[in-house]
Amino acid sequence: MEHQSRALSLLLVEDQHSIASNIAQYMEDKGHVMDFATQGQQALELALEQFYDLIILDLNLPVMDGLEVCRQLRAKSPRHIPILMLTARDSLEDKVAGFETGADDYLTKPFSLQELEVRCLALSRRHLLQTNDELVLGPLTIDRKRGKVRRDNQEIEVHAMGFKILSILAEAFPMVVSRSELSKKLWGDEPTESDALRSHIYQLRNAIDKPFDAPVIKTVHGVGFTLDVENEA
Amino acid sequence: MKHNKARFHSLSRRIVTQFCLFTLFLSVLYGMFSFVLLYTLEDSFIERDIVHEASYLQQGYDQNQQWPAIRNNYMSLHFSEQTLPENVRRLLKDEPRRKEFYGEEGRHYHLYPMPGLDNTYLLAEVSKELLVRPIRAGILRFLIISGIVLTLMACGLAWWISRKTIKPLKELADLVEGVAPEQIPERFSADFPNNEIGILAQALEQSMQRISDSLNREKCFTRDVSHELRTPLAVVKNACEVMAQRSDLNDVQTQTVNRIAEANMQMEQTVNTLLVLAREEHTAANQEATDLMAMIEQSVINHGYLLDGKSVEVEIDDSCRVVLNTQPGMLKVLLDNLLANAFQYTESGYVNTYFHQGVLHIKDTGIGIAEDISDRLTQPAVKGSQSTGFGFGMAIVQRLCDHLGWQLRVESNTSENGSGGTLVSVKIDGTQS
Repeated sequence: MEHQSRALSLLLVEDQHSIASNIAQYMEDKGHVMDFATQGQQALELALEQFYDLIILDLNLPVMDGLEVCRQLRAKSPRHIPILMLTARDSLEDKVAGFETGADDYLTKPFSLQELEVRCLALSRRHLLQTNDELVLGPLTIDRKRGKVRRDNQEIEVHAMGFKILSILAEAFPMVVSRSELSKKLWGDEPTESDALRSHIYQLRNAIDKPFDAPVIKTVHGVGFTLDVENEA
Repeated sequence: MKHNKARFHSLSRRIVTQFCLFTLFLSVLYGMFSFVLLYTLEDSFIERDIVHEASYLQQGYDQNQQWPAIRNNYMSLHFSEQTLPENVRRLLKDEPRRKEFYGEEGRHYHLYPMPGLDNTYLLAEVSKELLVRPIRAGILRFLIISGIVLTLMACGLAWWISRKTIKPLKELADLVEGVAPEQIPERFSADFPNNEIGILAQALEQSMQRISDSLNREKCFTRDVSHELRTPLAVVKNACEVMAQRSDLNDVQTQTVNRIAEANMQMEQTVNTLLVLAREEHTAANQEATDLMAMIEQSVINHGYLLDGKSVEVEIDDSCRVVLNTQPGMLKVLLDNLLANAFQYTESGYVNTYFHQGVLHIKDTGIGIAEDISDRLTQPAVKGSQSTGFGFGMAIVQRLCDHLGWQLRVESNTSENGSGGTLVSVKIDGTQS
C-alpha cells in the first residue's frame, strides 16, 4: 500500500499578486510544490498538460472567470482533478453555482492559510478514499472492506460504531469533525442522547489509544475530534 | 395593513350611510315644504273668501247702515269678543293679532277683524272647507313611502358608486400590501382606471420602482463591498500567518504581528456582520430551524486557533442542545463574534457557554473590560456610538441584536481580585422546538 505523501503539487490560479504570494510562501514553507497561473486560459493549458494534486482556483479572474475554467476543465480533462474555489462572494447562489460547475470545495476570502492547507490535504485525499479499500494514516490502517483496524501493524478490535467513527475522522482528516457533525453522520437527524456519542468515543479510545503511548484521537476544545497522526512519508 | 390610532372605518359604508342620510334629510325637508305650501295655499283660499265676504258686508253696511245677511253659512259676525267661542276668546287675549284658531271637535276658525271698526269680527268656522285635512294622512303616507323609496335608491346608487371607487383602491392595496418590492408586477398601474386611483397607482408604482432600484443598488453595493474589502482583508490575514510561521522572529516582532492579526480579525468580523445585515435585512421571514449546538461547535472549531498556546478550557453545556427557529446566518455571525472575542481576550481559565430559558450565555475568565467603561456595560443595550469604546467590536454585535430584536447584556467582573471575567448574554427570540 502506497504511503500518501503530505507534500502536494498545487496549481494556484489567482490574478491578485499579493494573495498569490502569501499562499505560495506559506505552502512552500510547508513543503508543497506550487505552480502559478494568473489567467483562465493559461490555467486551463497548464492543468491539462501537467499533473497536479489539486487546483486552487480564484473565482474572479480577468477574461475567463473561474467558473468557466472549472467547466472547461471538467469537460476536457480525462481525470477528475480536485478543485478548490476561492472567492470573495459567499451567498448561497454563488456557492451553488460553484459546486454545479464542478468545484469540490469552496473557501471564502478572507480565509486562513492553515485552513486552506487542511482543506487541500483533505481534498487531495478524497479521490484516493473513493478508490482504495485501505486508508493509511500514520500508524493507522483502516481496512474498509473487511472492517478491520490496525495500529502499528497490530490488529485492534473495535465495535462497529467505533469503526464508523474512525472512518469518518480518517476521511475528513486533517479537518476537525464537530460532535454535531459526527452524530449526524452516525445517526442522521434522529435525536440522540449526548451520552451515546460520549460512550462510543470512550470505548473506541479504550481500544485504540489505551494500549499505546500516544493517543491518535484528539479532542479539539471539547467540541470536535480529529486524528493526531504524523502522516509523513 | 397598519391603522393609526383611530378605529378602522370602511369608506364604502361611510359613503352609503352619508348618501342615505342626506337623501332622507332631503326627503323630509321637501315633505315639510310640501305641507307648508299646501297649508299656505289652503289658507290663502280661505282668506280670500273671507276678505271677499267682509268687503261685501262692509259695502252693504256702508249703503244701508245695516249688516246684510251673510252669504256663507259657515261665517258669522261678532260685535264683541264676548260672543266669540271660548277658545278663540282666550287665545285672542294673549295674542290679539292671531288669525287662526283651533276649536273643539276639530273645529277650525279664521278670525277677520273688520277694517275700521273696533270689536267687529268676521268669524269663519272653516273645518268643512279644509282641503288638506281630509287627505293629510294620504299625503303623509305618500311622502313617507316616496322618501323611503328615494333613500333606498340612494343607498343602491351610493353602494354602486362606492364599489366602483373603492374596489380598485382595495385591489391596489392588496397588490402592494405585504409583497416584497421585487415581486410586484412591473407595470401594474396600467390596469387601474385613469382617474385619481390611477394617479395613486402610478405614484405607488414609481415609488415601488424606486425602492426596488435602491434594493438592487444595495445588493450590488453589498457584492462590491464584499469583494473589495474581503480581498485586502485576506491579504493582511495571510501575510500575518506567513510572518507568524517564521521561526526567526523576536518577541517584539511577534507581538506586532499579533496586533495586526487581531485588528484584522475584528475588521473581518465587522465586515461579515455588515454583509449579513445588508443581505438579510429585507428577508426577515427567512427563519428556519437551526441547531444551536452544531453552530457553536463549528464556531469554536473555526476560532480555536485563537486559543493556541493558552490553557483555556472550552465548556459547552448540554443545555445548548436546542433547535432554534431563527436566521442561521445572523446566529452564525453572532456566535463568531462573541466566541472569537472570548477566545481572544482569555489567557487562561475557561470559556463557558450555556443556554438557559431562551438566553445564551458566554462566560469567560478573560481580562474583562476596562474599568472606565465597565459602568456603562451594566446597563443593557448601550447604543451605537457610545459603545464603540469597548474595543471589542461589540457595537456591531449590538446592532445585529437590535436588528433581530435580541437583547444583549454584557457584564464585566473586574472586582474579583482583579481577575476579570466577562459574561455576555443574549436573549434569542426563537421559538424552541
